[in-house]
Amino acid sequence: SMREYLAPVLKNSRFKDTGCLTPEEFVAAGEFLVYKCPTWSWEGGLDDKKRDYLPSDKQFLVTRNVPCLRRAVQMEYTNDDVETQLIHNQDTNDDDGWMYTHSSRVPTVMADIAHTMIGDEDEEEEEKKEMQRRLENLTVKDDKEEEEEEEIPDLDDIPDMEDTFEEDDPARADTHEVNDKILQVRTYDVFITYDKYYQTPRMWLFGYDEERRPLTSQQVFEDVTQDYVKKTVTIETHPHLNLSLASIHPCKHAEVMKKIIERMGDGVNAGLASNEDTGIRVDQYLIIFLKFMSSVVPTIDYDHTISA
Amino acid sequence: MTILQFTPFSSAVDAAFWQTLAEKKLNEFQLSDQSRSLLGYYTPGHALLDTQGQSVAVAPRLCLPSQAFEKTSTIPANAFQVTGTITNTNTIQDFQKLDRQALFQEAASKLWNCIESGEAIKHPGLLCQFFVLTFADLKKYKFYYWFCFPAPIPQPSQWQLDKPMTPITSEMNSDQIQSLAKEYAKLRSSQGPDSAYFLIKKHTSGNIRVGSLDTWDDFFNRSDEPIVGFADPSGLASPGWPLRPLLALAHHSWGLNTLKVVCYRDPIETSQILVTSLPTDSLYQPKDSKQKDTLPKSVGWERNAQAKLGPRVADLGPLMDPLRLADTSV
Repeated sequence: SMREYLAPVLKNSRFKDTGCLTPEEFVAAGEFLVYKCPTWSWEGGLDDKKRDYLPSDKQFLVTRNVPCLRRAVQMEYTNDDVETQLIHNQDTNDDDGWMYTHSSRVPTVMADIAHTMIGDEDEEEEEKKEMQRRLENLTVKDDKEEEEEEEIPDLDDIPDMEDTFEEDDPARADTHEVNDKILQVRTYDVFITYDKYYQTPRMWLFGYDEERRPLTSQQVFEDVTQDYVKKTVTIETHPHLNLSLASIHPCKHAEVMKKIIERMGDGVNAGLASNEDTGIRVDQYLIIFLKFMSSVVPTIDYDHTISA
Repeated sequence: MTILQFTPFSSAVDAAFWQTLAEKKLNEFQLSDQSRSLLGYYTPGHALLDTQGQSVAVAPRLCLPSQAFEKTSTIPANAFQVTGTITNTNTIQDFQKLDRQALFQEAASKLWNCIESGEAIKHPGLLCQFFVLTFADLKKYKFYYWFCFPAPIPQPSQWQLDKPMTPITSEMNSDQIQSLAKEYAKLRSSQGPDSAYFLIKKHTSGNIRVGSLDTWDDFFNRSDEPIVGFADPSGLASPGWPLRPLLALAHHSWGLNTLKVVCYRDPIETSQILVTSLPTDSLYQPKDSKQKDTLPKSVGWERNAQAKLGPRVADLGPLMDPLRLADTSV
């Protein structure tokens, strides 16, 4: 975009003061992430979309085929769900009612801070009401109905090519029979790009359904914490690919990251640094960033940094 | 006796691959519907924990990335390369009328030739192959496709499971598993795309050694128990599809009727081990010398979302159609 084009490249490190990253710091943090979690890798993207302030083979980070076991919508609105209760019982100190903290990996503090991403209270109220209305429409349907709705047009679409030219194969394990819920899951490709205008990383999501067909943006929104849907999560064109996909808008990223960094620097242990750490290093930025992002997309299990 | 079952691949095509195909169709292939080679990949099977802490296995996927048309693939570090071909037709009618039986026979005989000639022992990467038939409706941004993963099967009986799959930890201690991991990493860096299949030997001292398939004759002594390993895309109770051609190779080239197999998964501690055997009345090719050239029976078409033998469709309209994009943009 023009705005991004005109913005100067950030030269001096200011990540502790502002939460922003220089392109060099982005690359350093990316290297650390790739080292810590080999499921992430660098990609160069399309040649005509290369940014010259990043190495040409390290334009953005990606991790593919990340399973997403259930919908964020389900997580939030099935309060008497056994699982939800379970987690609430475990987290006894978690009584401030943040729905998304039962993605048990996200420290409450983080979700708390992340909430500053959402602006005005009133606006939020209104949005919530509207969401509620939309959700009611959504949740009336049960899974089966949705499935049928999806599949009917497809059946018409698929040319009839049924002929039994393959005989029975007794040694073929039937994946449809074993357990649909477990085997057939949505998956996501998760991208992290560098946003030059906001001088922060930016996360993008591209989803596939249980049959590996691309998800529509409406379906992707089911996997986003409802408070963020359409407010900070938008559909835009990937800066390095010809795809339009969901992205978490980076306008508040620096602010949130700064708060997290401050807290951790002050010795407030958000569960990310060990006690000896006096503050965080810039190469740990993306690891923290991912944990912060997991409050937005609680059901997408891209974060394998816990053990690291 | 139970039959050893194999978990079929699920094709997972990157949306960006369809874009590449659309672009190549317009600018490069144009009206040519000649077959072209592709490079796909799979990653070793793994289980993950759901929010309740229960282990959940993910179905094996054959991934087709946007760079699949390129000669040298850039696949993830932990992935295994799979070679394949694509036949893209010009019209939906052509797609429907394709001689699928002939294409299948061609692919199956190509695979069998690799096994028969011993080529697959030198280049085990050839054992796992696929082909895909496609039609790209560039006006509606819809892509019709049908994958096939040919695998020869024995007749009349199938491989039996002598010893059910058990975790590798039941046969190797943690030192041995670590040494297996180290040895295999070495093999992977030297063999590259051919490292999905390998040999494993347990020394009497307990040490683990790993070798490539072409060292078979020297690798095992008479007293050794031969173990064959393969990178298993499945994380489920049945091993993945790539084991089928390996069993055919083991039977045909090494004359084995019983085999111990390590299904290498990620992380390595979750790998599985099984023993399988082929009933003596079973063969891949008829014994009758007149029919020596007959191709073994093969299977491998992917089923669609309705679990039927039929093509799938990917609708990229919402992602590529400029009119529909304008609707969703903010």
